[in-house]
Amino acid sequence: MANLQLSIGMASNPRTWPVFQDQMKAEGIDFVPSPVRAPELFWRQLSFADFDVSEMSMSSLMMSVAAGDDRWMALPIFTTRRMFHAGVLVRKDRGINKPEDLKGKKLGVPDYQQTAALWTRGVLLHDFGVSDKDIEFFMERTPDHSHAGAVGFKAPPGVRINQIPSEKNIGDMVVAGELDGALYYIKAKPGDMTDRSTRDLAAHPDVKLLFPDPLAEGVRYYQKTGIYPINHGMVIKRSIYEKHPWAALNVLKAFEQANEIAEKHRMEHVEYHVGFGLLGPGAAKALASPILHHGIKANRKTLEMAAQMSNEQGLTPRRMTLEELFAPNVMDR
Amino acid sequence: MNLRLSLGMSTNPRTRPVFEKKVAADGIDLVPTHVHVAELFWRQLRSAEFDVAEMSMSTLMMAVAQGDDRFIGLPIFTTRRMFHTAMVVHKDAGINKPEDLKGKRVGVPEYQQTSALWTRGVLKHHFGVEDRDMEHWMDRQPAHSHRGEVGFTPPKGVIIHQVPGDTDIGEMLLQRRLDAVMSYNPAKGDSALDRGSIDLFNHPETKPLFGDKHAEALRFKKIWDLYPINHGMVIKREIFEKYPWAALNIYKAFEKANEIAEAQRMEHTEYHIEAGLLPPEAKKAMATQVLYHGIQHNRKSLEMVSQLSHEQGLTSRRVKLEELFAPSTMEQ
Repeated sequence: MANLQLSIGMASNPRTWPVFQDQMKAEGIDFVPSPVRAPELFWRQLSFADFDVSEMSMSSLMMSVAAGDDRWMALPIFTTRRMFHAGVLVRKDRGINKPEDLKGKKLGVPDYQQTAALWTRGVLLHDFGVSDKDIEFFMERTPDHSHAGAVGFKAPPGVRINQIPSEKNIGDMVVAGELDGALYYIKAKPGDMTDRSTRDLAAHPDVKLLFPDPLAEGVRYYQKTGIYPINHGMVIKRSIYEKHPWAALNVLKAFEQANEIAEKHRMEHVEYHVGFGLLGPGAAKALASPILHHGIKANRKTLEMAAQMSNEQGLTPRRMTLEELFAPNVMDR
Repeated sequence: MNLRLSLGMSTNPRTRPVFEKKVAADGIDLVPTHVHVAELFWRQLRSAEFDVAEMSMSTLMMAVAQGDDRFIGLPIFTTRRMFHTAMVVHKDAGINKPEDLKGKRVGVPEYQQTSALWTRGVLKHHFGVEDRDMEHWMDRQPAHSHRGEVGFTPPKGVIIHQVPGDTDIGEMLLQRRLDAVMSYNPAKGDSALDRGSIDLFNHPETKPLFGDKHAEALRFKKIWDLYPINHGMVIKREIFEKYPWAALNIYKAFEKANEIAEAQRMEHTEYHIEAGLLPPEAKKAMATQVLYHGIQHNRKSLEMVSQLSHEQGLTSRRVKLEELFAPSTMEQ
């Protein structure tokens, strides 16, 4: 009997390449993969449910589930994460020398509810006492091309979110001095359907990183919390899941295999740097230990922190439980 | 209509973009086959199966020196290594430093293979251990060896024994019939040439000759500032003569593949860097390109292969790079 055919939309990275290259198979399933960049993908998925399986913004997923949208079941496949808050950009002439100086400032953000911005605001509040109410936000994505538009988000009480007019963008506004910085910055790629900033803002002479040593700041946060912030998970359409419940674990197992391939490939990619002495034995050993794991167990703390921050910031009216988000048969994995 | 060329090579980050069709050579449809390199070289030498193929640099030099003009080299170097640091010795053989190899029995898969050529070259030039100071035992059987296809007579004073067909160098090392093994590559069922399957690198009765490979790599670089190359690429001369443009077009495709591999290395390691699992200097090291194709970047390494090949009696003279590589690629 023919395999179940599932379309899958996701970004291209070392942990998804094996799927695009057909190097691993989900049992009983033929994937039809499309490489789609995250913001466009989420907008297509939330607005039109284009793909059977897709990468999904964890923040938007929590908001839509909280709002009663039951079109999706999440799978604990986490292909990207980052120390987002370490990337905040500010103008050099605004007297911003530490996170606390962001109080009363105007910051651009591509999509207020995007998970990268959720984590950045969360860390600013938890670690530096800067609340979302202390900052005036300017959002770049227009309602018809944002996650917010797709899930019907309204600013929480006391939070000021302005819409950047469509003829302007964050990059230009920061350089023109209309904004003091960017909470998160996305440089649009050609053909981008969601983002409009085109400048290499980090390289502009009037702009600097909030954290002069972003690597050190990320490491500080990781060592303190053990959290490596996740922004994207994966979802499967509930209609497919209900008809083929076995597909959830089969898809997860396939991505676990893809992750193992990525682990092996990483070592192949660094072996010359190790062999030629550019990296010492300590680095070689560290590189041999996996850092990215799929599954609920390995990521529960990080996911629950995202749920807590989402509630604190008023994006969800209550703290979402992981059980509400993920397929039941993947919960003990 | 595109030229269609078969291509045999191993799979690694610098060839994967070709296998995955992420890069193409202008005017050429490459039809790639993954072949274990030892088997590939043997098939290529015996019956020139592939239009384009990865090739042992040592064997290529020997073939060219003997007047075999079937192949012309392309300066595409997809693998290299500090081969001498892979030497394994028996713990009871009394070998604690390279100089202790004098008078010892040393196993080698194929005497002429480039990794063994490099290992012997380092032993001689860096540690004063000459080829004739050791007794060599070669694993591959004449019917399935590069030597069987190219053929050479050991120089005076160099002893090369044939390992009997019913055993292999891994087994012989553990039986103390050998004291050390160089260029060991346990068979994984993917090569028609290599036999033994014992993991000598993780065996309680063996130890590496160089306990600290990192320190040894740094020491080596101070003496010879090069990264030992073992494999290049060849194209059949008859194809090159008919389609001379193919040489640079293929070269350019592999240059692009190399650029992809460079970008992928950064993607593969970004999480370890960001989480602080690597020392701070690792970020810069990781962004440093180590592997380049082309003659310019690799002349020193290639000329050393040629010198060692001549010194070790594998070639009767020093083969010039101009004799090996397509003229159009010499400036790359």
